[in-house]
Amino acid sequence: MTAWLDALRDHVREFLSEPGVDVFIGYRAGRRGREVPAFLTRPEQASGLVLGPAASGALAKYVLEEAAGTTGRLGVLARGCEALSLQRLVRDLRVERERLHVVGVPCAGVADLAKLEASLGALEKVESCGERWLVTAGGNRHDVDPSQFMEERCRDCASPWPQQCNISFGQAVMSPASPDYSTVAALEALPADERYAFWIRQFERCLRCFACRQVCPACSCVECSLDLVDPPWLGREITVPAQAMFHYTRALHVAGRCVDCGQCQKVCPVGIPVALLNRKLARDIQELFDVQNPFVPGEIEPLGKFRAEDREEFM
Amino acid sequence: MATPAYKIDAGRLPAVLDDLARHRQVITRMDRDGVNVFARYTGDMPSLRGNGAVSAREHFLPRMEKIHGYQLAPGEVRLSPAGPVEPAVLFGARPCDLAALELLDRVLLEGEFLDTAYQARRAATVNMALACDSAGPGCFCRSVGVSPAGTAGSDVILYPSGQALLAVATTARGAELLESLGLPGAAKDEVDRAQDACEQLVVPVAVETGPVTARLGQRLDDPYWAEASRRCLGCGICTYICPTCYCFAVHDINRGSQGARVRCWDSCMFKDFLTMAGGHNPRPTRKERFRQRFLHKLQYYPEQYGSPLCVGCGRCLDKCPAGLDMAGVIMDLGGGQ
Repeated sequence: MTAWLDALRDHVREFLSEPGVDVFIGYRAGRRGREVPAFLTRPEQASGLVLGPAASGALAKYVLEEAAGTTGRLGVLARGCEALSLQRLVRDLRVERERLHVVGVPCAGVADLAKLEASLGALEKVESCGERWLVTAGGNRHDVDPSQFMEERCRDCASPWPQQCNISFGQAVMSPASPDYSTVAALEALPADERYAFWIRQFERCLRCFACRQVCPACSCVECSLDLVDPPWLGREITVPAQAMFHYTRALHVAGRCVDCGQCQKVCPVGIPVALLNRKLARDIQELFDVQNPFVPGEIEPLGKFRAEDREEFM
Repeated sequence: MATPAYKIDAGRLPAVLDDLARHRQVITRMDRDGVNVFARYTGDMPSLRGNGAVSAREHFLPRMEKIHGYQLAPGEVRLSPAGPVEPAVLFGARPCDLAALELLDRVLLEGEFLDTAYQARRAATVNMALACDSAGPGCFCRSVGVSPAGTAGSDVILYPSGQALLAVATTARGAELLESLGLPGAAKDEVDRAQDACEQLVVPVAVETGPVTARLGQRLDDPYWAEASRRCLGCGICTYICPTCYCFAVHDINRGSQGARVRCWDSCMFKDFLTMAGGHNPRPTRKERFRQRFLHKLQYYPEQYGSPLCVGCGRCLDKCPAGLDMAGVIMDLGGGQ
């Protein structure tokens, strides 16, 4: 049990007692060791709040639906990537900052539940215990090394500590100075035809289920151009060129706005490394526009403003 | 006379697949970048772990399928047929995926309207099922009337026995296919042992659909739907990986004066799925769309055909990003712990 969890619950209980508060979005215990998004509206529900390595959702995106048609305040539990996602929604004018009550919590990485289940059996509970995880699975308790079972997107997280919160709990975690682009560099080192073959193989598996878009905090358009039937910007046919076009379009639409939460890749049911495309564009932005960390929403959007000193050697 | 049983030793599997592929396409499961998918056998060893990220349904109801081609000529439209369906063997789908075909058959092959493309693929495909000797973490087939050794929808069933597969035909065309392969026979007690192991396999998740189906009719306005659907992201994962979902949309791919009419998968979880000409949408919010999917599986289909439209494959339990899945919803509605 995490030391600050009781303090967090007390805080949420108080928040839900305040007038003008609609909801607090956090996690509660689900079945099979999961921790699932929870929408608390009454103070007494605060005692059901949990936050462990199995809480793998993306709470920020829910703010859009919850805020629609209401005027009250919304509380949201935020780890590093969720806090960045909320900043994204605020900067994109999708929700007013004043309506949000952002409760920051530390994060030491989210568990890859499929990987845990593959090696330990059906999950019952995943708990954090100091630097280790205690996993109850297949009727036994296991003490596991988080680095072995952490989700890939969390391994090189550049923003573990939530910024711009109304309040935070737990110990602040240091962030690395710059995002890690080693996965991009590894792919770039391949010859062009191998890179092409790599991506086509990925896109062939795409089901066009739109999970990557639905979970993405930078994909918050009221009407997505990819849904339009007339004009059909995205062909309805399910062919490899259409799948590739879907992913390239989405990558370019979120370029400069992606916060690298990695949810797009995490939710993909057929293992397409969607976040890799975003990281490639982010690294280009970092180099071309002299941005320190392209995943942190800033005052000036690198692709949203022209500056006379912008590099344009391609002209 | 007892049905003959054959043995495919691990070392012999490539030769068997090559044999099968000589006269027809062989669809089996391969690992692609660590993801287990159904794909055409082209000589690489299949990977028969788990049940596949996407169900075997996609062989019978492809993601995209041409209905007919068309060409505009002065004063007329010339249609061209979609082309013949290739004979196929589906090798290594699990009993749940094949049991799903029997559920789909009732909708697509019985009654007034016949899905001729699905019918052609069903007729052209010999199904070699792979019985389960281990269960995935989300498996709940037994709760919906499917067994890890079930033969519904199969022509041949393969029982794992050590490194070998023991093959037993369950239909006449399955028997004919097995006979043509010239395989060595398998001893009856070895087959019995392998079959027993699968039949007795314990699956980790258990639910009860009966009481839920009986109650759902009265629960259309239950606050549960609004509350549960709050965490639905509105993506199509559950519908696209599901072996029993079959919705599609028809599109014309127009290129100048010619083109093709195709049908592609569609999902009731999508916002525009039911949008009518003129813009009206009878299922305007996630609540109605989420409810529809579960009512279809747990009420409408059972009322019409007598069983839930689910085979307990467990894919939605593993893949829903919000932890909203068939077994969980059944339990929430009173069908178990």
